Amino acid sequence: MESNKRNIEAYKQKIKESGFRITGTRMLILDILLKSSKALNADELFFLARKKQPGIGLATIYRTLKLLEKEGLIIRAGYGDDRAKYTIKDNRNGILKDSTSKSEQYGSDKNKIKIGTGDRLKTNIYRKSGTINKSTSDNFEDIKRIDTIQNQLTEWLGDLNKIKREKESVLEEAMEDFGKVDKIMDRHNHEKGNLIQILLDIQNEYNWLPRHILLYIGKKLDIPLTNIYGITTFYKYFNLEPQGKYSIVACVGTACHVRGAMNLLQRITNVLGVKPGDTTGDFRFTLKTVNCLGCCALGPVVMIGNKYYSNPSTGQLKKILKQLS
Amino acid sequence: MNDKKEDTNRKKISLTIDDKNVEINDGDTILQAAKKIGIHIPTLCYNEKVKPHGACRLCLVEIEKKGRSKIVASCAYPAEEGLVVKTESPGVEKIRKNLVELYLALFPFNPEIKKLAKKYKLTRSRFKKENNYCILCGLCVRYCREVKGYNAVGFVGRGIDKKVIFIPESSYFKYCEKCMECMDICPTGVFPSNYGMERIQQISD
Amino acid sequence: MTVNNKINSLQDLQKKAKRLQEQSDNADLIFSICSGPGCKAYNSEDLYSAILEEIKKNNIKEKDRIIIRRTGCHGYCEMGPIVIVYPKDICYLKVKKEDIPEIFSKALKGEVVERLLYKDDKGNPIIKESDIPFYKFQKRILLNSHLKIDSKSIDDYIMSGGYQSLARALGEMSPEEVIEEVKKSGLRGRGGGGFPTGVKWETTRNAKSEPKYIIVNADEGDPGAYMDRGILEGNPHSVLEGLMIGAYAIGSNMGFVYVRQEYPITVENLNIAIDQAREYGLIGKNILGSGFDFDIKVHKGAGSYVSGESSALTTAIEGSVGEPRLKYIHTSVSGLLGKPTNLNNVETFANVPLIIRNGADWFRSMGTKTSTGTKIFSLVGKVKNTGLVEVPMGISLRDIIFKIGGGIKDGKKFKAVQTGGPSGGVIPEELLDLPVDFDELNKAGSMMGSGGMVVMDESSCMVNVAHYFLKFLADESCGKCVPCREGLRQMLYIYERIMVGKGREEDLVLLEDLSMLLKEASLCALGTTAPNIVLTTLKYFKEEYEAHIYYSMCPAKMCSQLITYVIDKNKCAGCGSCVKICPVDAIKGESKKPHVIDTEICIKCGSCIEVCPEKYSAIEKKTGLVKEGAGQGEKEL
Repeated sequence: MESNKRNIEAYKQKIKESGFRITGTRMLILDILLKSSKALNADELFFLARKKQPGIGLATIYRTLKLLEKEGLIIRAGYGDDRAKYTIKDNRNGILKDSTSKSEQYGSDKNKIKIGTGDRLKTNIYRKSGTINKSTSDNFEDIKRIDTIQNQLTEWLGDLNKIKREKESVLEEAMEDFGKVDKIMDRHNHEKGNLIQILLDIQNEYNWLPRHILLYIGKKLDIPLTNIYGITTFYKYFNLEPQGKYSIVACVGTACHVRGAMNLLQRITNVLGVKPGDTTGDFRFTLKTVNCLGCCALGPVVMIGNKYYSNPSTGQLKKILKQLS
Repeated sequence: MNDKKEDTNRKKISLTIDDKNVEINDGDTILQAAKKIGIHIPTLCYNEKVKPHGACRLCLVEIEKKGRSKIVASCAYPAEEGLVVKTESPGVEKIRKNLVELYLALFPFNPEIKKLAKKYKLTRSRFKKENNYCILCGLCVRYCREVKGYNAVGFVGRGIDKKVIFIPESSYFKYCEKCMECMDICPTGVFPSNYGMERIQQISD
Repeated sequence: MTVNNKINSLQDLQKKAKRLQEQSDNADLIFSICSGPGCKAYNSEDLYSAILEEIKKNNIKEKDRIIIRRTGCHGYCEMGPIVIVYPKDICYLKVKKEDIPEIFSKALKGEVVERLLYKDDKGNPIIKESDIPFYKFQKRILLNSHLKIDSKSIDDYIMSGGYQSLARALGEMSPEEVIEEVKKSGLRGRGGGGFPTGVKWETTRNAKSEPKYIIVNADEGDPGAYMDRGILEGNPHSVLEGLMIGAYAIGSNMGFVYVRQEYPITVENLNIAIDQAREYGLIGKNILGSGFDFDIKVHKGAGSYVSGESSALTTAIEGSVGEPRLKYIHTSVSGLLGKPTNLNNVETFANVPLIIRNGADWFRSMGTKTSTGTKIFSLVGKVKNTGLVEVPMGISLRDIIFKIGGGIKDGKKFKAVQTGGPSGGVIPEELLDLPVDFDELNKAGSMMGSGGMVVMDESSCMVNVAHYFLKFLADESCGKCVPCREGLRQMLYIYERIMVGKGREEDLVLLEDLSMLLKEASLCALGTTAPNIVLTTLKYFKEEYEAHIYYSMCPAKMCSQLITYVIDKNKCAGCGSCVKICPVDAIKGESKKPHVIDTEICIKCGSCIEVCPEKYSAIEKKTGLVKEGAGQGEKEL
């Protein structure tokens, strides 16, 4: 216990020395994480932070977490942005050891394995919104519809204090998305029972499921968010995070496993620097595993882009990846 | 769950539980029939206010139908005319003993589990301890969905990674602060009332 | 294009078939290119464009002189891409784009390219596909249709007699007669359950509720199994026809096909097939003038193995999370949306038109008394000839693996075959003479399942294999009931301990107790069949478990924590190839002197063994040298 306290003090000193501006809120979050023996998600941090600082808002927590992550002081793991867990970045390992993490199978700390923590591709609309300038309503045919959406947005955001005004372009982007989503829902007759099919079409369009679209579908089809999130986290095809440009899919089916798929996956992980399920920092590649690609004669197979490769060596992998920009 | 007014209009059927006869309405489950004659079948994920889930598997009983015996969940199996039910046959006891041992590794503090552990003389569990404390019985989810209609909590993930969380996190402030009714039916007492406090205790060690 | 393409009667179908056959017979050459998943991965699409090139180069302007058909899987995936040239019936294997010009010019002259033919043990070439040993011992009533049918063409299907069974059923038989015929044939569900199809249809027909639904289960979650993909992608109309005959029999007008979205090409072919059938009036209102209406909807899965279970599937089609439900009321009585629902596998439906066409007695003439007909297996793993094989029921495992499969690859020794996917178990050498059918394999502790057959040799560790399947099941389990979720979790902990050498004596008893719990107390079939792999590996390969637990050794040298990579200093020439490839820089040594691997850093990826030149072969895996706790990192267990 004593040595632990000493370590925490040393850590705080190191941050002060590095020149990083350490405000009260940032220190509070770091303090909680340092004292915790396991990774925490935004919910838990929020509960704990309120004990010390009762007036703190959830938006502040998210903002601070994002900043600390960008500074490299904490790292994130998990799916979705509100189910993600955070922990202090330990420079020795740099890996979050989750008891069910897949990295245990494929390598040790001594590897050059990093976790990709790129920035979001799309802005999180629910955090940045403001009032819609009525003069831009000329672009839209339906003022009533704008009002409804504005009301919906403010309702969703009702619990966040301090909504900043952002450029209208962010909201315009959202409108375009909602238009596309409407078309998809039309194709499936706006039926609640077709939710999974609708989500599949949206995923094919955007390559992931942005949160504001999920909220929109929930409102439009009158489906509680619990159901939508239950479905998107139950089925492994759905991505709740933006994906890289190219998918690298390694087959870990029985036939490929018996022919050495684990070694192949190890090689791919070494070359890419991410574990299965994550995206590289430059958002070029996402590594995924799948249970069977149906070409067992080529085993062990990896599908890069849309082409199949049978048991490529490290050198071959590097060459293939270099060709894809 | 059942409308009391319609009771008198429904067909009555009789079945045998542990060699005792009981007459109940058509459509009731074995568990309800057992309750009527005072036979106790242990349950964790059952509550009269919500639909049966069949997740805890503690209520398993052995039934005999057309000469064949089967193990079924009494909280959901509809009673049939002439059914013979055994709540403590050797097959059921064996299953229940192993199940209780598994629960001892998950959450040993529940009174039902403690009672059963005493009965089977189990003091320690050979299995690895899990400190989740949430047994994913789904009572809070079903209660919020069926009784209150708020849909504030739900399951995410599947298999080993399944969890119960607030969705979205803002619903805690919208509904739960004023409601808190699922606190009373949670069998482990972890979620959601102690969600914040117990976790804080664990973390600040 | 005529405005009305509709086919209105059996006579229409027969006339059209005759006309199409004449057209096909008039062609000079027909190329049948296999476009199944394996051959596609080998770029069989390039062969198609290459043949088009040749047609252009040779200035062949008349249409229909040369016909190219991109067909479904031929089955011999090990030798793909496969091209068959008719009318001479010449089968070419491992065809590359560059071979096409030669094949084409020789074909025009009626000659053969010998180097691309199959060669038997003595080196003699075999021309006809049916003479090749891989095919000779099979009975391909379903897969042979793939050879002559382009998977995107309804005309090819009609040409070979397609939809005539449907016409006969609708026009000449009553629904009860159809059910009788299917019952008589003894057809049993090919998805793994093995329930008599005719009886299932009868129960659904007799259920007193409307409307009734019929569903095709094309989820095929078993890893390593792609039989349903082969049929549905190669010959989707056969499944549609079977589906409609079933719908007529049970009295349903609405059908669903639940396809996993990991098969995008299958979904595409299926949608094309449905549109084509609709255009011909074979789906819709008043089909073939019989008064029978029918419509189909395709529902895609989204990555969940447990959703292939029948109660979970109906829940998924309703739009909720695909978790199995407590089903104390049969789906045939109350299924999708509470209405009577009949669910069958792809292969089951594909057999139905053949039964109606050729009669129940023909079907009974194949297979055994209780398991009639044929079954398609996906024979994969360490076997020489991997691919899809179709054999009559009752054939022995030994025949499938050695006669058809050609035995074990790379001259290694057979160890076990895993059947039935994650719900099945392993079968050792001494039981290889067991006949393959619905009931015999169950007695050995495994099951036939949907047809997955993974062959393993001496380099597969049984503990590792069991762990692999348990991890798959733990990931795919819905997590609802405690025995399955927590039981699998505890089993995984035990296996992880055993695989790093920290196994305890009581582990074997614990595994058996947990297996009993899962078998008896789980909610759905995923949980109750999950222990099969554990129980069979414990029963037949107990010595491997004991080696792991008592001696911290992995006899098959697969469990990374129990093996060490060692460079034999007598063989190593110091060439340094391994140093360059090692991702963690674990190999050190001076040039031209024997090198050494630092076992503390080594991550056992195996890259060094692959690059060590064959003449040296200096690196090998050893087991039994590792001290407890040594090796990579400490795992918190």
